Amino acid sequence: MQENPGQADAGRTGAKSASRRALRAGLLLACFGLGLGTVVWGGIAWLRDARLGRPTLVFNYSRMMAKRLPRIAAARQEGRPAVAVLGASGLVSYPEGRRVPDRLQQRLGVPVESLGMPGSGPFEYYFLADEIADAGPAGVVVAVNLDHFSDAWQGAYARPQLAGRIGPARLVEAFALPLHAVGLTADRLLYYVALVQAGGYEPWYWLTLRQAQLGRARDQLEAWLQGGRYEPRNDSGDDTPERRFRQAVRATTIERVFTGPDIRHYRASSVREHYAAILDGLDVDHPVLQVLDATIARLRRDGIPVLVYVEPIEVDYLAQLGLVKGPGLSESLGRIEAVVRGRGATFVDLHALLPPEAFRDAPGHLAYDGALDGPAALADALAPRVRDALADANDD
Amino acid sequence: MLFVTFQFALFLGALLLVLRLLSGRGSAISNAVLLGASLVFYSLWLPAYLPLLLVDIGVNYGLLQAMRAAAPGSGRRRALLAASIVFTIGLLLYFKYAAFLLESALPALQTLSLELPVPEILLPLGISFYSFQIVSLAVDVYREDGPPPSGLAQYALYIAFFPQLIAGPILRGRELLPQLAAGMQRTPERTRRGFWLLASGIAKKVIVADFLLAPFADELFGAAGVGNARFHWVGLYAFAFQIYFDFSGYTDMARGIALWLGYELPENFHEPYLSRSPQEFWQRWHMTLSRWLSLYLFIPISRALLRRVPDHAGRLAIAATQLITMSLCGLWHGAGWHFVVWGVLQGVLLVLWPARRGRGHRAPLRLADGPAIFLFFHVFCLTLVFFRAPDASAALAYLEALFVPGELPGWPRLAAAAVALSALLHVAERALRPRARDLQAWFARRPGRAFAEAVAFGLLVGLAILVSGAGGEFIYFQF
Repeated sequence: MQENPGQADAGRTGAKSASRRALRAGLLLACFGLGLGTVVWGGIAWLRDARLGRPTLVFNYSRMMAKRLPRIAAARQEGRPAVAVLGASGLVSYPEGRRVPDRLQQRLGVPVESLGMPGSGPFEYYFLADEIADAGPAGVVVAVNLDHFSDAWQGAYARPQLAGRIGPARLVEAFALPLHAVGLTADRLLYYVALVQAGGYEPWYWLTLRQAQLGRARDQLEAWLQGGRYEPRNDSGDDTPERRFRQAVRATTIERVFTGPDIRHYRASSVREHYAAILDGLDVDHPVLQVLDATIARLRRDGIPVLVYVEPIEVDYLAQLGLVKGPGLSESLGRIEAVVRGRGATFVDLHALLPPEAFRDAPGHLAYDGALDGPAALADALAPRVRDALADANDD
Repeated sequence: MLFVTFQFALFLGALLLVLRLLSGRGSAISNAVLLGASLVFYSLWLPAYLPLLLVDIGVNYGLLQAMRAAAPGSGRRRALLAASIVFTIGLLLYFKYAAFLLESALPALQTLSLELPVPEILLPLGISFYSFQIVSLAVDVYREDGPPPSGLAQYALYIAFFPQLIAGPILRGRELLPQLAAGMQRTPERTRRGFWLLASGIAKKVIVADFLLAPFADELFGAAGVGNARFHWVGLYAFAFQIYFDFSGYTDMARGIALWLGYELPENFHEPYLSRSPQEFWQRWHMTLSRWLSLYLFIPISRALLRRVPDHAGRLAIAATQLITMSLCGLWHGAGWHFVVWGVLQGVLLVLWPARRGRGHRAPLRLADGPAIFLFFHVFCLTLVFFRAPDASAALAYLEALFVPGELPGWPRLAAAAVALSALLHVAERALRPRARDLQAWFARRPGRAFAEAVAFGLLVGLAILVSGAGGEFIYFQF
């Protein structure tokens, strides 16, 4: 069939206008990119020397894992598989060589690798379980602090971004877990996993650092408006009215939360805030229990022996406040134990292991330089149980 | 999914692409895609929320259809409307208020030796907003005041249309249903307007509310009584502007996204802090909620009361209705007594504030209005303390701190500068809003201007990315 010349003209005009539209759209997009790039690059150049304005613990954690997991893998290749220890500051906030994993290594005589990070808890352990399992440890020791079950803990230390480390194969399982307890919505979970899988982790890290620096830039602006120069290392923090105000807020918070300026003990209301879920008896479907269960299941799936221990708390002080009454606490411990044993892991309850003098502050960090060395005492109690768990696994 | 996240940008980009590929295939197809996308958007928050939304939609659609089949004015029709309202508000009461009501009743229950566990119920996202939209359509269909939905899919999209699903604006059937029937109307003018609204929303939410104002407001309300009165006043102003820029920024984004999809959503804010009275304020602040409260609570209750009271008690009946309506408005904002107190205070202001005769809220501002604006803004700010404080005792501590000099010297200049900038932006909005379309048309006339517009939008998004490290959720999501 012969083409009508009019139709051909119209077709050419249409194609021309379509390409013009595409060109215009491309130019508009380029202009948009120019504006965006100018601000982001300019801002980053300006911020290059600024210090971090807020913690970037998510990335610190990831960096730490990137260093230590290969050591676990290397130990396996050398034929001396290492024991990995997961926990929060109760595990690691001591001088080098005197941390709980160091003490364990001295007692076990096998390599022990600390994967502890202040502020971490069962949600972080869950996010990192694939990578830990892939490293092939001889066993995994998980420290569970009874504070982990409180909303206060989850609200203060949540690092949902670590969910990017979940392997795609576990996404379906992750959707079914109550990860919203740490602010992780389904879209964030998908996004973080996709970002890490697409190799976008480093740019993300880089951008987040710059964003963190901006907080400090705000402090500098604050100081400039007050006619002064910002001194980040000013210990007294009283060089501007804003910093004096923040000092006052800190003092008030300490007064409200702790019984004295030495933060030796929580006030009763703060104890309730941190331990109410445990003292009242944990719900069977408590989000932390579900996540702990999934973490152990993941590790056990690869045949890795797992030992979960409950970190010591100052039970005498709780009793003194009259907060340990009824069966709540023992019910809670029973629920944790059931979850742990249900997955074929070892449960060790050390919550009442240590006397009051073994604690140095309200959150339960242990004293290490007095008559009683808390981390050493803890390792003494833990080491034989770890040894047994590893031996049982070998027998199997 | 928050509008100001990369994942939302990906979601929206993918959706626009699909709609572009399907353009010309009829409104039924594009609306079906839009409905699917809205349900995905909703479930991407927490998948567990989705079944409740679907049940709410399914049951209410069934009741709506049965109501349409019943004769107007019949008892059956009334019963079906009541069933729809009871079901929808019942779900809202259970999910949002059950724990609060039980907690409030605990002392009384304990005196009766009754131990009832307080349930931990997760609040489904947007339930306060979509419940009101469901009720609104049910009542409108009952009154035959507006078009009914043409089918389940259209009804579901009216409820679940994702730009407005989570935090409004609260629509009426007559606003969205005819548009859904006509299909997407995407024009260059709408696309451009959508860009402007999106840019305005990002600037308001990410840069002004989250970066400039929120840190200081959070600090102050987290430590009522610390510092000095100047800090507390600046903190209060910071929160007042934060909540405005947060919520109106969200609305701007919602409207902009809807325009990109080819739909028009109503405005929700008209510079409320330039109001001269509470009556004017409530016609400028969260306008679609005010309209809902007026149409479906205030007018029916006041009419019913006026029929039952003698003529001389009419004013009293109106005042009582205002108090009831605003108390419920407070409770709608959150399950807490401090929200109720805030609502009651709004009611008291509406009752006691002298009405402006002859000059409604549309009257242009004059210099002489300055004192009235200043006075009302401060009175409203004082009531906001109950809105923001975690509980009534913290609110009282904050109020006290506003009038106690305190020992700390100096004042927070950066926060004060941020507040001053916010106030200027607020005034600028008033000046620019009526001229926005002319301005957009001016940019559209020359290609060079359009490129400048694109560069400016890029600069703004770049700045938003840079400062968004501490980006928070939208304040109104929790309601």
